[in-house]
Amino acid sequence: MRARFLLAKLLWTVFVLFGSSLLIFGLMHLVPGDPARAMLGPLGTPDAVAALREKLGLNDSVLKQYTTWITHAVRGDLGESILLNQSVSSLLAQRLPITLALSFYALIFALFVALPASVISATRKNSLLDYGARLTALIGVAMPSFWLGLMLILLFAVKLGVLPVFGYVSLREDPVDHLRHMVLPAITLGAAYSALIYEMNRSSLIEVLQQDYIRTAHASGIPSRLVLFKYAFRNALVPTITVIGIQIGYLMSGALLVEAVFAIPGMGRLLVNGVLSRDYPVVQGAMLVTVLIFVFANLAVDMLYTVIDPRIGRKR
Amino acid sequence: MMSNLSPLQQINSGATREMGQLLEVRGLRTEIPTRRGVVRAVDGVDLVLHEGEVVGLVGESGCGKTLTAYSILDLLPKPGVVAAGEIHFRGEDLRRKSTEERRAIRGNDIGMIFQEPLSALNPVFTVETQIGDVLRTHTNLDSTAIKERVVELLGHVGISAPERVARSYPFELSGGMRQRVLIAMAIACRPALLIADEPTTALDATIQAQIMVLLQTLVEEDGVSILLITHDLALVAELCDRVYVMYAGTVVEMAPVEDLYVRPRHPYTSALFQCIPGFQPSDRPLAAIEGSVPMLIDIPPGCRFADRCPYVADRCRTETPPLVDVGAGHRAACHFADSLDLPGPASEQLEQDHASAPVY
Amino acid sequence: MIESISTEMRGNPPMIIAMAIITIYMAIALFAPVIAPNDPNRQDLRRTLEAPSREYPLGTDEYGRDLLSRLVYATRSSTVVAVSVVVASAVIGTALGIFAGYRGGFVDSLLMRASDIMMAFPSLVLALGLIAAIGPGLRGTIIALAIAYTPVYARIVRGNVLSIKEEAYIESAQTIGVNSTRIAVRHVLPNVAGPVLVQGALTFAFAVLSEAGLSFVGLGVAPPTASFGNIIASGRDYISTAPWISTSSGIATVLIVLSLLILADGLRDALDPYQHRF
Repeated sequence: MRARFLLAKLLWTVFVLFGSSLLIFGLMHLVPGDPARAMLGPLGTPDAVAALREKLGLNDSVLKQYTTWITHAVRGDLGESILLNQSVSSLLAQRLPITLALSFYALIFALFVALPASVISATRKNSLLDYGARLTALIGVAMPSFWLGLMLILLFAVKLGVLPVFGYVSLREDPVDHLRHMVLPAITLGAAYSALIYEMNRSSLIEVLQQDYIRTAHASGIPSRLVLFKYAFRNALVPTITVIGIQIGYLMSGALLVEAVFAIPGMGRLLVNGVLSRDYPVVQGAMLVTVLIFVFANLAVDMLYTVIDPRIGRKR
Repeated sequence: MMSNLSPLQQINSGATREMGQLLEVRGLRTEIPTRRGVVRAVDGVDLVLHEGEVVGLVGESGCGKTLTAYSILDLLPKPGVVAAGEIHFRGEDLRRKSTEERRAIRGNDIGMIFQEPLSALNPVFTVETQIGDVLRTHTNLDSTAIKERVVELLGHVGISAPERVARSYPFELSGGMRQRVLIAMAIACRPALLIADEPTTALDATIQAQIMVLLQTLVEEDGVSILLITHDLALVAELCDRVYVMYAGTVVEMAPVEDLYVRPRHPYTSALFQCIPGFQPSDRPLAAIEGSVPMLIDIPPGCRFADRCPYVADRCRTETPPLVDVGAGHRAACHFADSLDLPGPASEQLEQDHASAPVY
Repeated sequence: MIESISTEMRGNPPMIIAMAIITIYMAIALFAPVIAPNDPNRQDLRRTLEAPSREYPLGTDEYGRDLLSRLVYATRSSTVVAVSVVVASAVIGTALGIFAGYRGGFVDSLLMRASDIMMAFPSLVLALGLIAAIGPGLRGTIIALAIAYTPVYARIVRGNVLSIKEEAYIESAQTIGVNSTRIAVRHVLPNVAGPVLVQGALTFAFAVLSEAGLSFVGLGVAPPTASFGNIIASGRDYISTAPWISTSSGIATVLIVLSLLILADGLRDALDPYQHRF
């Protein structure tokens, strides 16, 4: 039963990936007029345009173009960046780990803040503390991440001078400096994410705490702490994990902006610059990777469900 | 008004009350603050339960019977509070004990079973884990001993494959099986008192009967006392020694079960009887009590049942009837308890029902 | 519906404040030329990066432009984008949702699978891809965001249509021979209006944030036209010397988005028929 559940999820994943690849490929053909011309801009000579058309395979049929692109993509060949004269895969190989590291730290920060806060809020529902936390969370969602980043820079880097302002240092180069550079970006990226996780886990915990089985546990004399952290928390976690999974996209979107604020050379910056300079192979590659991450994060979440909740994927 | 009890009978009923008294609730008042005012969900309830006794607490939903149980166990959902009264368990007033002391009593000295056996079990843990946690909380057993004890308990409540059920999740079990698991959990630490809140309402008829038999066995073999909370007077007939009938937060009648069935003294009790398919005289259609329980905010003086009572008189709307003796161990809160000849199930019928176990 | 909203507002002071802020914000956008004390694009290179003063309450930027006036016009850009996005995505999404829900079958599956695929992209990433195709700027931003937000409406409306379809009054309307367009308009629209309104407030909030984000990275509203995002971006380079440039625009964005989120929350409470109150 569970194998079938996971198989269905896997098939779904394959379908979404295929559909996304069509969409990403289609975007390039949405360009009004000639994409090669659009890429080269007004300075492109007719010869250069013709050469680029040839290089991009734009003279082939659309179907052939797609099959060529996707078969290459599956083998890891995403084409050449027009602007940077480098293969898209090697660009992604450099940039993706940086974005992943940033997202990972942001996730850790978000969980670290959201989970304890949600427990406090849920157990003291409608108290002043709860209202305060909810308002903070709402502001967290409402704040543009890039602006929060600037304000953090202003406070910690400029006024207090305790953390570096911009830039990125790799983990291998200097682990301590790496982390110092990641603190503000991770908080910036994690803030809104944290707010979403908090909201979900709070309402989910409140709901669970009203359930009959919680009353049973109390009636059996199980200590409140154990009831909260064992009996309630695990049940509450299921919807929360859904949010964590779905909102991985939030992290990817956020990374686009946060990397721009802190001058971090991640995939987000690569994508933005790709769009700015109409470097289509780069845009396609980065979007494909984003979808891959989203889809596999959700697959991981589905697998995690089956561990947390024995009912999922099984029938009586 | 004063009853026609002989002095001997009075002494007797007084004597039993003192001997082996397990639970005594006096003047219990439970309040729930709401936006519209304070709801007196339980308003001056007195209740006594002796060792080895099965006592029924009967009434419609919303009459305060479940909140009475929660008040005893310190399980009131927020923002409900016990505002007044004493709750003596084994001679000690529970209200004077700390939250922690009362927690230690729950599941150890007093067990509770609930109405909805599916939702009352945690969906993401196995039966073994859930019963095991109760044992871990109240005993010093090591993990092997706990495992053995869980299987033993499951066997004790009549589960035929206890090892398999122990490793199951609640959703893998049938309704009756889940209720047995809940009972096993409630008796895990051999409590003296079991509070059963509508233990069979959610189950189908045959399973209901089996669970009732199981509860009967626990009383007879393990000497457990039971406070049975139900709206179903048919269940009470089967299992209980004495009955308290609650209406709108107050006890309106209490009696040994036979007396109540031979001659109910409160119009509400009589009305409840007429709602039971097996009990009403066959020539009359199945009755339903007209109207609903009044809101328990700013209760006006007078009998709370007045608006729904077929025998209502002017006096009932101005003067609150006290709970007075109307027979041996039989009390009723009605101005006309002595004069009314209320229909109850005939005594012969009762004998039959009592003898041939389930009435379903 | 209006009744339940006004009842909700009476018991929900934050929602009243939120509505007031949204109204003020719309008014500023509408009457920007009247409200702005100066021309937002008038440069004065002798008075660059001035701190807030009596003359320039929010200070000046690196070209000596009045930040208050730029903020007023940024409000206008933000509103133009957000309102266009909300209206376009709500109308198209609702139409598609009704169509899919009514037709069912192949059309329905096709539209829903397409929306699944679009929703596999974070909306900002999808918008970015669309901008890559359409081209950056105000128009590109509006089209890209409108497309990115459309699937959500289509799904919400389709779900509602499916449940409404089951209900008896529509069945009876069908047997009487009312044509399906009229059924959609007369019966379905009033029923989906609530959820669409809630989603509208949310989309508005996210559109404001996304526009600011896109403008921040240079893909949205292009300078010299003012927008919250590009003002904050220009302040980034002067964060240590002239922090006021970024601060005021950021606060303005937070306020409006916060108000919209509170509004959406309040609307949801007001329109949720399953909400129980003690």
